[in-house]
Amino acid sequence: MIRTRQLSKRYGPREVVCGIDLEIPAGQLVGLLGPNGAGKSTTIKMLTGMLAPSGGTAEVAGFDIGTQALEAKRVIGYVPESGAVFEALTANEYLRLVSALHGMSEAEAQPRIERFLAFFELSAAETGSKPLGSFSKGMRQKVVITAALLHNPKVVFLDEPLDGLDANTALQFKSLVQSLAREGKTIVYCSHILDVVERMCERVVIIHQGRILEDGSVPQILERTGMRSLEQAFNRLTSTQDQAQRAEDMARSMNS
Amino acid sequence: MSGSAATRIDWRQVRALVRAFVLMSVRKMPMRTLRGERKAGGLGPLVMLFVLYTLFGALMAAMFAVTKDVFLSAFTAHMMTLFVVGTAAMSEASDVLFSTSENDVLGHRPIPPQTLVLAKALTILAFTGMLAGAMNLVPTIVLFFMDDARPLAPLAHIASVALSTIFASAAVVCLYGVVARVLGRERLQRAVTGAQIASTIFLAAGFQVVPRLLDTRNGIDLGALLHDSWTVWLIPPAWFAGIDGWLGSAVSEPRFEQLALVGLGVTLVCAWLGVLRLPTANESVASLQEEAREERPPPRSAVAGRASLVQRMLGPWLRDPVERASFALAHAYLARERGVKVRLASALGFYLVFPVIAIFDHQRSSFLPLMMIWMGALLPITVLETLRITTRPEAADLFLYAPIEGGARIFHGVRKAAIVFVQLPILCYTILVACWAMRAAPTQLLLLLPALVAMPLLSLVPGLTGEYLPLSVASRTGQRTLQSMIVFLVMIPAAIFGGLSYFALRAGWFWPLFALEVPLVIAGHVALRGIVARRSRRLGHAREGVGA
Repeated sequence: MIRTRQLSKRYGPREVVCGIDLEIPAGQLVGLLGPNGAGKSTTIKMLTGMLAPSGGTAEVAGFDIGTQALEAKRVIGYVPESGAVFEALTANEYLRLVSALHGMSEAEAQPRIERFLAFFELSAAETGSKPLGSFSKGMRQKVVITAALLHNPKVVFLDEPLDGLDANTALQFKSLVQSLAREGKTIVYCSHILDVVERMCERVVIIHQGRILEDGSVPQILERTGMRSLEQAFNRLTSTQDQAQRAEDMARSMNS
Repeated sequence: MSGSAATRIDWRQVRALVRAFVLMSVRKMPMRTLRGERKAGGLGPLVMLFVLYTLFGALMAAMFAVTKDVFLSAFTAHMMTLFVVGTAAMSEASDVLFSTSENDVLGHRPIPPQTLVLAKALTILAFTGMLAGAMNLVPTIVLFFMDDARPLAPLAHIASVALSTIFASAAVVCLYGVVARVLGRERLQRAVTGAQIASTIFLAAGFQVVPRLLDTRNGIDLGALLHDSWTVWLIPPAWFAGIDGWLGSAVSEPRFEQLALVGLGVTLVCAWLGVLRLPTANESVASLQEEAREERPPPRSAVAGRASLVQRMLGPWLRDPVERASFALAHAYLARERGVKVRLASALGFYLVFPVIAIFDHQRSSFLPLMMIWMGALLPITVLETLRITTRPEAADLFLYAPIEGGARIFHGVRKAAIVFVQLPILCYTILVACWAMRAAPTQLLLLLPALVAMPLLSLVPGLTGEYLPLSVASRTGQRTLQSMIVFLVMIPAAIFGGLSYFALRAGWFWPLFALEVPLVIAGHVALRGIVARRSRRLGHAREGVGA
């Protein structure tokens, strides 16, 4: 469903994504991990057609992202890390705009919008009259997730989707994501919350400095790195320093 | 992207996008203040703009008493309309066309670039159409009473104004398309600012060339304008006035039709190029967003180094740490932030062009630099208002959480940055040009003194409109045009005082007037600083409103 060959992105002399080869079949839920600036978001932006690659190729649902970007975008759902929405619109207006952009008729879109808003327990009074700019971060994130899934995409990219969600909604959403994968949707889940990725994803890809360092199931990664948890494996792969010692040194320096 | 998909306009998407963009322009939105959030925007600013432009149009219609016939009156109306509408379209277009904040919302949606650009062009057109409509409301009626008017004259003028507005908006979209396409995406960030300055210079220069074709002291020779001057084919106002002449005038003149056809043709070409041929909007916007993150270290450290050097030099003037911090914040945004630079570029273009005209135009050699100095005195207002606007107003919450006793010191820090980094360089340039242009009558340089003395006082004016916080207001259509109009209104009393100084110099009582001005300015400065301090609320009160 997703296939990249030597996918790369360069800004001047600096290469932020260096020849990534990736193959993700339909129905797989893949966790994409990496420290800040590793190239995760740039990779996702290239796969969603928002950014032109500097080199290599990428296919999403059989469509080449370079030459068939529009076709690919029709089957993609994306929750951006920024949680950006048009803040002057109400949730209903925003979701109607998104459905129109995906070619859905009003009759088709409205029941789906209502179903999602009910799932996320957003009241009609809030979604119909208040601009998104006045929503709390969590409420806004619910609308962003709805906007990503409204058109029933085959491939879903989730970049820190739990950001701002309360514990109950987060639990509910994680179940939804797993159910969607079981129904055949390909899901790429980008997060810094490692234990969530460890529990949810059947496959984990760790990126560092634009390169894939590890690709496999959690047990496989633990076995290869000789660590007991994904967090330890991640730390060993992406950092050369003892994080606990650094934190202790930092706390001590704050008092001096 | 496949060829067939890339050239398609999806009208359903266009409708949905235009509706959303227009709704976003007219909604009241939260803005940050020291008392937390309050609502701003809505239809109020647009209504105010409509009223101001209608009044401006009424003044313009008064000039028809000189021009008298339909073609020349329409020519005057189109000249002013294209200048005002073109400037407004330029200043709004960069935000609308290259909004980096919308890339995460629309970048991954299946929207053909042409569809997105058309929707944005129509949004700009809706705004410029409103301005052009307001400006031509009274002239459309007055045209009916011209000596050679046919009953169709008002309708012809409505059609010509509609076409000239489409031309102005399409030309702007086209220009940005060319910049994105020809100069390449990698250099777009700098190119957009350059294009904005260049086009403002072009507009300002063009606006100065056209009146010279109409030498009102010797009467206007319609025949000479139409037949003896080849420049008529190069002047857009003449094309659109051709429509008025062709359909609305009883005078039979074949060139009216030809000019009208040129106008129609150029408009269609601009629209075709701008909307169908040039768009690379999605990629350009994504590229801008990424470049903002990937900014190279050398310029950043250079800017930081320059800032600290300036701060050291200005040490005694920036003793307060809050003032110093907001000074540094304002300088960072003036030097690095694409949006701020682009917004300022349209204003600064005039300051570069107008003084130079004084060198070549001996009749205005004393008037233009004087006018520019007075306008320069108002520059901090433009800079401060520009620095209010941001795509992320929530970041201004920092001022609420910081232990600051009110917003006056933040205001003064930003004001001082506006004076040091924008006003002073522009003034030095204007004064140099003025010295050259007025070298034949050096005593007239004395006229610059009253403006220079009034500058610190005028820089305090934005603090009177309420509490000031930088980067606290979301960007929206019409905001910048309204700011320009406010500066224009503040300019009126400044211009009156400038005129008074001029007559005082000629009558020989310049020095007494100046001696009167100095203590008044000092007293005014002390009083305004007090008002600004009182208006900025204490943080203790401010925190009551946070999150409300």
